[in-house]
Amino acid sequence: MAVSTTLTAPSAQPVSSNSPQITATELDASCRWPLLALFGSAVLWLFLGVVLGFINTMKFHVPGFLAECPCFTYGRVHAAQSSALLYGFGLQASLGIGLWLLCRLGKAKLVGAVTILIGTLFWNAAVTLGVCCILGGEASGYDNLQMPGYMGPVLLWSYLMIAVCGILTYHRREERESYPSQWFVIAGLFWFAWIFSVASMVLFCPPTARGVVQASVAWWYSHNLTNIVLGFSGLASIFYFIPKILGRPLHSSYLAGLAFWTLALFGSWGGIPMGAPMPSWIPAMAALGTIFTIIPLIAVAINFCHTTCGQLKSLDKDVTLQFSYIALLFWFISSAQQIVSAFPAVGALTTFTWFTVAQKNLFLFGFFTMASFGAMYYILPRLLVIEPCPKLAKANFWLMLLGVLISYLGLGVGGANQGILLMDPANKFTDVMRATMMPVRVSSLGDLMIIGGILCFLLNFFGMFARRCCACCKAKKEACK
Amino acid sequence: MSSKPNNQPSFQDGPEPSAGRALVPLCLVIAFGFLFYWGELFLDKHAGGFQQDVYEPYRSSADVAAAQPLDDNGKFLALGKQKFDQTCSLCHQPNGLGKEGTAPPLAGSDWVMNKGCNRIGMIVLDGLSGPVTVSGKEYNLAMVPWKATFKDEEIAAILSYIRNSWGNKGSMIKAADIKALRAESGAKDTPWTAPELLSRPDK
Repeated sequence: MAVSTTLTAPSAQPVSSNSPQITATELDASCRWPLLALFGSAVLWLFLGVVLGFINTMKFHVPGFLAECPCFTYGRVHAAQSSALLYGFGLQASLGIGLWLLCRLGKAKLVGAVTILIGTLFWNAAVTLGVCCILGGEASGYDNLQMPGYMGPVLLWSYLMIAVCGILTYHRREERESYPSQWFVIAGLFWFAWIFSVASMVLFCPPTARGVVQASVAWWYSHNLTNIVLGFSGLASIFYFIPKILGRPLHSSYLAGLAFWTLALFGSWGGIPMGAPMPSWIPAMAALGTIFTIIPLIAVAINFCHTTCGQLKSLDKDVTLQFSYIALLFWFISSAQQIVSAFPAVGALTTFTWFTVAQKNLFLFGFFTMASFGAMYYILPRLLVIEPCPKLAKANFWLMLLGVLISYLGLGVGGANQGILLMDPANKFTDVMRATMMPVRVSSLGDLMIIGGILCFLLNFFGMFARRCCACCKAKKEACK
Repeated sequence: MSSKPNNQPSFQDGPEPSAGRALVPLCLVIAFGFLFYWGELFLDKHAGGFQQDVYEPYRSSADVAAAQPLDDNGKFLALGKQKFDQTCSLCHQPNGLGKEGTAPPLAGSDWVMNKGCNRIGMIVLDGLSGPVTVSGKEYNLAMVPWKATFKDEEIAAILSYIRNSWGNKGSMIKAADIKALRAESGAKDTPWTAPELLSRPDK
């Protein structure tokens, strides 16, 4: 591999003469069980989440579907689905990937494996209870924070158990120079603890905030959870795997730093639509913050253009690389769409249409889920010391890619059309709704493909796990003989 | 994992990625400077002056105030403000503070805050010339008569407005009061002087 002259390669030298170099195998072994627990439950929640999502999609085509059962009415299933996807899948996957990156980049063994396992156990118990409460009608009503407020302390405590171990691992790192992925991971760990504790205090602890403060905190939390916490995790994984697999250094740590700080600063303001019922300076600041995220967008684009230039041929070489490239591409599209929608003229057209749903789904499935899959295809075989099934991996990739594209194009085009139709008062509202039926049908097809892709990953994961267990049993039997 | 069985795959792990030290392009930094400038223009247009009472679709506190329904007094004062801003404010200034060498102040003026319009009503109708002491300060200027320009109601509205703005607190002036003054002034075609006005009772 060509290595540019700007490359600083401290990784090639031993860190200190008196401590022996830790091998990658030892690092992977140190995080095996905590990460398997985090990834395993994350994937199960992901599957449950998309199945719940599909139940809701079915209600658009067959309104009577499961309508008699109060547990499966649209509002409850929607809240349960978002909780399963964000807390069950999103945060656990980002924690798992984050911990592994901290181990690998810091050349330090994972600290507190048992604590992480206990934290994971409690986290999953809390999310399970929370989702059950939602289906039982206890949803809080705050978007992306639907689990009832009394689950908050358990969630926060178990999150902290895991996050603190990550911070300690980072603290004990042998490799002192930090790499951009580590910034994103560490910031994400702090960020969730911060926003979740603040939102829980303001929204659930009496005296709870009312009115403008209540709405703005809810919007702020929801936006930061997806765009910053999950966004940072996805970017951390992309920033790591693309240079790693290409065997080239990242073009510029300064550009990465610019992207990191501007995204943390401006990306966190957004999420409040123009015309929200609050003093207009709040939505105006939110829109401006979102528009300013053009800075990290450009910085990341330049960075990866230089890092990958001329290397796109190697795309089909590695499944992790494929997923990471596509995730990066979808991050660009989704962020660009968010920026364009922040302009008042466009926002007036697209707010409350499928257009915004398309953007959010692209971010969650196209960017975050695909980046996580890419990372897990790299990490899981090393944890289990067994190869994944390449055919299932290929099916997973193509089903996800096509599914996300079809779903996105369906809802995006349908949503834009819906916005234009809604602007004309001569159009009857019911007619406008009827015009969205075809796009929703198309996107349901995409959703089915996404479910298929996720099922492939699930099978691959548990197949690897089962084969590993069999191999272990065999080895033990032979050892007995 | 020290002793691996032979059938286990060995994963190739290259060195951990490192980050180069290429600088951020200067043109990008300059472009961001322009973006921030544009951002300020955006906030000027959309942030409603950062006032807590300005919601969509209004753009400023003034827009919000203009959209409020007015009672009769409010409508009367609004008419007064409109006429004052069109005409009187050229010399007396929109903030009522007057201008050195042009016009004495109205804000906090003892003439404006008389019990009624017996004196200032005459000033507006017929004008004023010669030395005059306003709030303890001497002025020597001339004001033109307005009786041909404004109707009784308009003069009453202007007087009510200046008596109730910029911290002034005074009674409202009615159109009938001005009508009486106009009749009293009759065909007077010279401006008033301060001693003449002061000889009139303060009512």
